[in-house]
Amino acid sequence: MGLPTGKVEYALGTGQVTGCGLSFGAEELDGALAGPVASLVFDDAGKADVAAILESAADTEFGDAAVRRILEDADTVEDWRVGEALAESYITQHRGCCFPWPDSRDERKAGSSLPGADLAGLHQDGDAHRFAFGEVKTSNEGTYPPGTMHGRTGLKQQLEDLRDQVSIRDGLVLYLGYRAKNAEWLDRYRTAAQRYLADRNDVRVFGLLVRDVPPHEDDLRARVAKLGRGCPESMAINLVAMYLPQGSIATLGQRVVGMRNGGGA
Amino acid sequence: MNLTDASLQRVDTHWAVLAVGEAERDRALAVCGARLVKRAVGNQIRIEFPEHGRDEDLLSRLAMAYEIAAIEGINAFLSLDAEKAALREQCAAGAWRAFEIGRLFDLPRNEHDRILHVLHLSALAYCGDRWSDLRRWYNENPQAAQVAQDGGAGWHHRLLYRLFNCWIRLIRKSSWEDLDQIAEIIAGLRAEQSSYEARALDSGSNAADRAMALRLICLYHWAKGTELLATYMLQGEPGGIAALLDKHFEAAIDAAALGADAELEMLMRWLHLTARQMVGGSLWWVARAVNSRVSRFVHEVTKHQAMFELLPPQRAALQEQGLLDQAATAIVVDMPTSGGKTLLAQFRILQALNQFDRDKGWVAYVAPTRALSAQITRRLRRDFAPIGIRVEQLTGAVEIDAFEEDLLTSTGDGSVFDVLVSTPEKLQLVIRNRKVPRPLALVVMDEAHNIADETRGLRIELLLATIKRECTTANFLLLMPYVEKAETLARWLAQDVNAGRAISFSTTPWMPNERIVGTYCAAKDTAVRGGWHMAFQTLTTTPRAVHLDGTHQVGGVKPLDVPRSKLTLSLQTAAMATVLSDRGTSIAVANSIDSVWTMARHVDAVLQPLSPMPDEIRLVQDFLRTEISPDFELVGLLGKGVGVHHAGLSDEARALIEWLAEEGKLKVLCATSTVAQGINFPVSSVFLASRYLPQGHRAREMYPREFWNLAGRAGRMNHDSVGVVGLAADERSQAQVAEFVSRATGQLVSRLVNLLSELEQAGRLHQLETVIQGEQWEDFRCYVAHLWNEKQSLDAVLADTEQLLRNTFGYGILRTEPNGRAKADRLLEATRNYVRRLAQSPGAVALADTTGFSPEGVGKALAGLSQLEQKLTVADWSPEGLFGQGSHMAALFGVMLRVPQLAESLRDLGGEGPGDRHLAEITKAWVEGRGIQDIAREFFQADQDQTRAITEACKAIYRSLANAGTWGISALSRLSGLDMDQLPEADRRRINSLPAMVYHGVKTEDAVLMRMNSVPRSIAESMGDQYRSWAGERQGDSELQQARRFLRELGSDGWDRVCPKGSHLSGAEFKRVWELLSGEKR
Repeated sequence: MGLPTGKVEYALGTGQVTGCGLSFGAEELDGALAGPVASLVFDDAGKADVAAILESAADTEFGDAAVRRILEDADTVEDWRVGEALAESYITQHRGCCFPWPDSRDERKAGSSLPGADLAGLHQDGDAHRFAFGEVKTSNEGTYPPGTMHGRTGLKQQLEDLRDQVSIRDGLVLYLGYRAKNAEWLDRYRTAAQRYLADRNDVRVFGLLVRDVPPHEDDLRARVAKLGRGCPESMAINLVAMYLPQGSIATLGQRVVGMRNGGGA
Repeated sequence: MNLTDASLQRVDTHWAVLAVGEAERDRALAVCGARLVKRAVGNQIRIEFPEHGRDEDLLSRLAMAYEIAAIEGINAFLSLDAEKAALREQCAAGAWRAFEIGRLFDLPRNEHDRILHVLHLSALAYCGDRWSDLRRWYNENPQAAQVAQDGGAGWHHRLLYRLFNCWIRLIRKSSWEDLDQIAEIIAGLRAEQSSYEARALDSGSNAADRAMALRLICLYHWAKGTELLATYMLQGEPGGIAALLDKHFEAAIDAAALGADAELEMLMRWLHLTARQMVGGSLWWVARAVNSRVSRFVHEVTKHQAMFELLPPQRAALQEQGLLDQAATAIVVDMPTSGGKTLLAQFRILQALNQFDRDKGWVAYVAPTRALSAQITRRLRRDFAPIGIRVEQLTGAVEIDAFEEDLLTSTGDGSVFDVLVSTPEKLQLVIRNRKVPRPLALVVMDEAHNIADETRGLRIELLLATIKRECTTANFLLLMPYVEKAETLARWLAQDVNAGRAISFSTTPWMPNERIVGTYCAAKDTAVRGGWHMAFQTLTTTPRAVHLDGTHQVGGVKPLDVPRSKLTLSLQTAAMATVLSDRGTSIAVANSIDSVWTMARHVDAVLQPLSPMPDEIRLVQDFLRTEISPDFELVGLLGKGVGVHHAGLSDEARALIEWLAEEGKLKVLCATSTVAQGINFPVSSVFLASRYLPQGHRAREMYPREFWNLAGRAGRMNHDSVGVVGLAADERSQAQVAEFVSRATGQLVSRLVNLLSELEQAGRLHQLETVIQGEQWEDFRCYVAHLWNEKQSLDAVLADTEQLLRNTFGYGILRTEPNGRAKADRLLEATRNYVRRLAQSPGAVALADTTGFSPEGVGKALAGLSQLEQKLTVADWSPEGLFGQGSHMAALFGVMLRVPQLAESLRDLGGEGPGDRHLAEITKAWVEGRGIQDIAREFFQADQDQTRAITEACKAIYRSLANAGTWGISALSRLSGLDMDQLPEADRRRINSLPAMVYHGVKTEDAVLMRMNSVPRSIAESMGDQYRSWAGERQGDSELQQARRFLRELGSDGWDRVCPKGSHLSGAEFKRVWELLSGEKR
């Protein structure tokens, strides 16, 4: 079972930049964790790859003990990873998006300063397609907006970068290009790329905030207003705050591992 | 894989490119061209090309579109699947274009971004077959290759920075050592792993540590792949390199993909292709399947010449087009100037020597001029001597002297040469007289397009025909630029459709560098009174040039101090060269030697003296002071970086001027068009005062091929992104000049065909029997006479005449063309009639081969000799008898003046006084060792200025005397009635040395030996003495080889000993000059 549409708590903006708060109940969350989220978090194909990668690492004549120790310990799942998976799952189901590779591989963001986006894929726009890029932050803080909104790696900065820095978008479009070869979504990629090459602002950007506090529009109001200023004409930015049951974020990782190991939520 | 023009056109209509828009694509490519030109010459030429605010975005979008096209083919690029060829080409073409645009972007400021940008751009260049452009980009953007400081950086940054350093080395390949250090850098990283890695994997977040672990594994594989690649480029090992690179780069890509490390994954994909491309283009890759000689050669040039990689056209020739295919007996390579033809020839030479190893086969390398012969000899010796291949050069004299005779006929184990470098005329003598008792394995003919030349074309065609007929084992390799349908020529030489191969690069977009082509003229400038400036109109119709519209101001007001009313086309040319000299050597070409000097003087007047004065310039100045005159005008000009190059200089002076140009020490080189004769010294810009060439007493328009052969030198492959080519045009000639420049180069047409066609057009084909007696047919008559000489029987020759003609290029073509049959029949008939005529004077015919004269020339010479007052004796054919008091020299010149093949050249000698006596006096003075200045003053000064007198003297000596004079003396010695076979060896040898004395301007055999080994004339006699006491009765090598060894081993005291008192050159400097001229060291 996927994630339902959620209850609309508030809606902000009307033009290119919109924001909305959606709340989800405990049952709805459980359903999602048992369904698509697990497959996003546990990248089984990726695990098989790890074994092969470790095997070949010895041929580099660099020591492989330390990397082996890290990669062989794969059972810890951090809560924010589940949050990201929930967000991805939501916009895939309800916002016409497709992200052609598992988000769980996007571990790099926490450890490096590489430019990019948590999510990069395609968005269906009527009969046409365009590129969709998304940033996700998961927070159990009690403040509105949460601290993860600000700072060098905060959602605010990331979304502004996606809006303003065409080089980041270029990199993501090219990266999708490598994966599009022989993929079933190749035609959609081409359509989106044609639009993009004619106008590199013609994309949809998602900013997703995963929270476990009572909904409040303060989470997004300032961002909707500010991202709207200077937003290129052809770009659309959608901010979504997903409100999970209170206190649920701290155990997301634990629950998803438990469910996978045969236990209940 | 080599990129074609067609694949570039296809990628221009790829869906991603079309998404940007066709008009936008064209606009963006025009902006690229303009930006490239502005960056390259913006300080000298004010480029009128307005840019728009949206251009930057447009360029980025287009670059991206081309990259998307490239990415579609990225997997196919490494595939061997024939069905994927189109995708492979798409990848290369997309990368070519993406690089074309990407190289114009500013470098990112952030260190990390800069590294990724530079590596990405480098990879695009490699996959797009543009590594030569890339290396130049590095030269022009030194900050791009700056190695990042890794002190304090985290482990993965440290790895990235060091690997970046390794890849900069791999790409620029500046020396063997540069590459050798890569292994050390990687070893250093392995040693540091234990100190840095643990901290990198302890972030506190499991996810972050996992991402980092994958990133590190990716970097480790990259490091290993880098190490393997560097080792392979250096040593050609390990075998199976391609599979090893695949393994490590694929593992790196997998690790990056699993960590969703988009940037690193994309980079690894591109570097994987780059690594494979680098291996595929390496010299070792070519050598792997050939033979041990080739391997040793590759080892030598990689180690000592830092030559690791083939240019795209070389790679295509060797790997795709079958240059080393043994079944191809005749190969014609059509390659642009600076495309690296010599290396291809070297590979083919090695293969031929290997093939004929058991029979001690030899290779003839034919170069059109003495200067080019010398240059080629230097290059071949440099690369071949260390692997035990002997290269010898025959002098440009049209006779074989005693030393050359020894060299050619030797069969001893230690002394036989492997490669003989020669002019066509000299090789003709060698072949016709069967001088080398070993099989000819291969003939390499450089600048072979001369086969269509009006004066020498027929000679070259007939030389090839003779070789084809008489050296049946010989293979052919013809090298030439800008020739369409070269396969016709290949098939003719191979005598078999399948064994003839044409390797052509006219369909590939690769060029040594970009260029702009245009016309120029002076324009009024109101900034000052009587002001003018140069205006350059770029042409958009020329092939293979940046198409940039408009007229652009060049330099400032009055770049030369000349009133506008006095501005000839030559001076406008000099003005262009002066302005553009700011960015490197510019050549200004004029039609006459006088104009060349005038240009040089005006350029000199506005330039500042070089400061500091380069040692190279100082050396050449002192050489000219010593060998020509302390007051020679060129000495002063060189002080400002101005050189001249024309027929009024000695070969040695010209060679040193070329060396200065090669070394980039000249600002402006003023020259006649002879500078184009294959000399390989690319320059920044080339300007021509006229598209006409003097020919005899008239002028003719250059062939487009000649123009491009000259203009193609604009742009130094490793230095200038844009070469500038200009042709002077006033308002009236503008349209014609533009049309001229846009003409196609066309096919090569046999001179024989042209001669007959001209005759047909003049309605004189029926007079062929008479016409064939004319000067233009001299070479043809020699060709026929040679057959007569071989057969000695009228019936046999008549029976073979058609076969003889069929051996030529022209006759074969005539027979196959519908309009040619009648001409072919007429030629056959006329030739047969000529044979019948020859049968009436068989004696003269027999002597034609040994003298190189036509039978008619032999007849005239014999008649002249018989009219001498006294019969010549052996004593007359000695240095004292010929050059001393009371000699018959004047009388001999009198005879020579009756021989058509010599007369014109000797009459051209000019100067004062009656012809024969005058010639004799100059010759004696020259052999006696008198300096050029002396000779100029005594024989040429009259009321002329010194420069003109020296020019005339040099022309007389180095052109007329060296060619016609030496040939004449040699021929007459054979016609004078002496029975050479009956003479004692010493006498025969002495007689055979006389022409060489005239050629070299010395009076002893030992001095001749020294001169043949490039010792300057002013010390040749004393060096010869020193050699004699060293050589004694040594046996073994030929004298020529012994003399070379003597010079090589001579210590500095030996050079000091021969240094004349008060000489401008010290012993060490003489030695340096010798090293330069002989190619011992460059």
